Amino acid sequence: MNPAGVQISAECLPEYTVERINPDGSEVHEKPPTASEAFCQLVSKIKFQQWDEDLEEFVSEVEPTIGSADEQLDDSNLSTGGGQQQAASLGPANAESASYWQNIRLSIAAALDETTALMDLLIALRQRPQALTLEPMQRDVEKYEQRIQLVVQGKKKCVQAAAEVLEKGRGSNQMLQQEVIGNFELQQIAQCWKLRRVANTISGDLSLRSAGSRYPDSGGFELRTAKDSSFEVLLPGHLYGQACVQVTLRTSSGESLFPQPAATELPRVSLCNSQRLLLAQELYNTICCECVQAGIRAGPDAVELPLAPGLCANVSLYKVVGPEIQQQEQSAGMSSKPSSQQQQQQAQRLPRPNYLSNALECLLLKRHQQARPEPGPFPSCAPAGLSERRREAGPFSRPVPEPETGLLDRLAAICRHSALYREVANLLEAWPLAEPRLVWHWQTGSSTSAHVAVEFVRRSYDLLRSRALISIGDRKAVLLTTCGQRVAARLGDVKRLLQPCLLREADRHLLLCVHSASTSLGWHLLANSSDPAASLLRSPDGQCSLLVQLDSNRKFVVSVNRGGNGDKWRRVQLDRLAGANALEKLDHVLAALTPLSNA
Amino acid sequence: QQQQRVPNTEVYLQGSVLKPFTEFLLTRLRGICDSPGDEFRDQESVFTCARHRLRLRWSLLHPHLPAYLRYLGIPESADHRVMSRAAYEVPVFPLDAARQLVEAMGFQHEFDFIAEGTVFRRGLLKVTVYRVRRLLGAESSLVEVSGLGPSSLTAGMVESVLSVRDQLKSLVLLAKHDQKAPKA
Repeated sequence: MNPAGVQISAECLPEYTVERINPDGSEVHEKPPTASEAFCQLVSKIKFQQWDEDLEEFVSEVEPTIGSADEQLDDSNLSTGGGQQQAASLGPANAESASYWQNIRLSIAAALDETTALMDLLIALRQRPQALTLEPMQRDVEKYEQRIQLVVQGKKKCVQAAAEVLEKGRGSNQMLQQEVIGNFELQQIAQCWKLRRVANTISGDLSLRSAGSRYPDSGGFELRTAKDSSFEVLLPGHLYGQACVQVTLRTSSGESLFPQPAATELPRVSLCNSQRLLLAQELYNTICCECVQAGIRAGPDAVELPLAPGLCANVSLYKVVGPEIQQQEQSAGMSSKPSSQQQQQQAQRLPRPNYLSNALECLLLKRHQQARPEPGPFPSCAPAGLSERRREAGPFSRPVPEPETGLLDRLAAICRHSALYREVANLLEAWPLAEPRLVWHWQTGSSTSAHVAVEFVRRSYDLLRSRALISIGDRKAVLLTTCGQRVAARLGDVKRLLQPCLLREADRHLLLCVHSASTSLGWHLLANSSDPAASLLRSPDGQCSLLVQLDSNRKFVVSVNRGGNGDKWRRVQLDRLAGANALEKLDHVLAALTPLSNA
Repeated sequence: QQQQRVPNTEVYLQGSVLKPFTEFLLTRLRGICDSPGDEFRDQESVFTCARHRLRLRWSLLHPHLPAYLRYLGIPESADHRVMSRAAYEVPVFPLDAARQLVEAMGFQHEFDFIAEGTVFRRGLLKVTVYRVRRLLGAESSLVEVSGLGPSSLTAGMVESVLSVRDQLKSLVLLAKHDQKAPKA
């Protein structure tokens, strides 16, 4: 609203006084005096003392005539037998007649006064013309000034009234603006947090009860109006800070299975961080309760869970609460150099949560979700909750819920799965052979199951591939090959059990490549063995036999028998042959031994 | 004693909210109610016989759930702050059989309407914010806070309804409304 654009009308006092106001709003002003009234007023102010002598002469001349007129009037009254009687006979009777004659007398007296005054004036003009001069009628200066002052004061009052109205409006506008600002902030806070008015205060709720949490801490905070009409948040002492729960896997030697992220966070105070603090407390308390029930020792800020021989999970609660954060906030703004307090508090920095910590939080939130009331009712007119009888009986009864596993068991399952996952990944990454190569593709199903498809490929142009599948659960990892072989390994035995199997699969793949090459040249496969890996091939004309073996060092050993004589086997020295790898050299051998008619 | 356990009394208040302010109301209700709010879309058929009405209501989003046959009595003024009426609800399944039963009892179909909106729960109370098709304009929604329970719990439900009404006072005015009995 622009005050400059507001028009305010100021009314001044009317020129004439208001005698009355009619119902239709029109005003009846007091009439100004008539000429005769004004003349009478003037005459009343004239002093006739100076001309007493002349006046007496004139009066002596005139008085008899006036007196005779009065006597005549009185005589006429007497002659008629009483004025009253005559009056009574001439006019209305009794009281009305008295007032009637009174009015007549007054009007005659007024006329007599005027006439007398006129006569005095004429005498004055005749006798002393120099003493009386006719001047224009002058206004009463004092009264005129008073009237002007009255008008000015009246206008001042009107303008003052308008100024007060403007002042009030400006003040209320300012208050309204501040209120709007405050309400806007309040609305922004209300969009993210639950607020309610309790008496004269506004309180909020940080807890996750609406999500199904049953933690006894209410997580309440207060909103207070600051001096500049904004809102400031008052948090309880135990929620003033930041916290997180970190889960790490360590071997018996203290080595961490997963590398810890180097970046850390400075603790900050905000409603979100306070809510996370509350969640971290609830999470850690839940873990501790279940540890106590399971007979595991739980500390105030760390718990060790044994998963497998030589492997344990460490659940730690990192918390920065209290006035230390306030000091840190203050000192951060004052100086750029790290103070001693900051250096001390660097140890209190919170670590970034890893995958296991996030998984643990998700477990808790899922438990909250399960504790939430059922959706509905559908249709909306149905009762809000079913009775126990209806819940258990009838065609619409709900199935009995399965007993839910505790948070600790699920966390242990996730940790074991993570450790197995890590072991299988290490196994694949540390593949010892150059030929064939290993290619793998991961597929993660959930937090406790994953699959990896392994392929054996050659460094050549052919598209021959062998596949194997490794399924990783929370207890064991299972390797499944194309020939139907199934090998399961528990935590700690992955390398010992799965690696030989993978190596055997690699040998089979190499022999498969040899078969493929020989078949394309017309050779026949006579026999095949997987352990030890060996293949017996015969040339298309039957004159030559080739024995391909893999020794313990995964090197090809090729022997040739020409002429069909099974006793004389001659070893082929692959080292002297040209070729990038043993398979290419073998290709050359096959090509050399193949008769031309079949090439 | 059995009558004390059977829910036969409904305590309720009604109001309306304009479309621009519906979201604010839903946000407030999410904060004060136990459930986060579930969308619903129901169809209700009203049958009349003499001076009595029966209502058959079913969910269009969950057709596998049973429908409810309801009788709602005349609003009573036992408490001057809220409205209360006798209410009896029976789940029926399947829907066609229920409809045939009602018509066989002599009731005639009067009208249908569709109620679409959100329902919240707070203990035994329900707060529904919905639009009624073909009766109201598209710019406003009905808000109803109701609690159905046995007569022994009526006093407690009245206080709960009034508490919800006070918490929603700045957004929607929930009040008693005069409702006349249906004409024969």
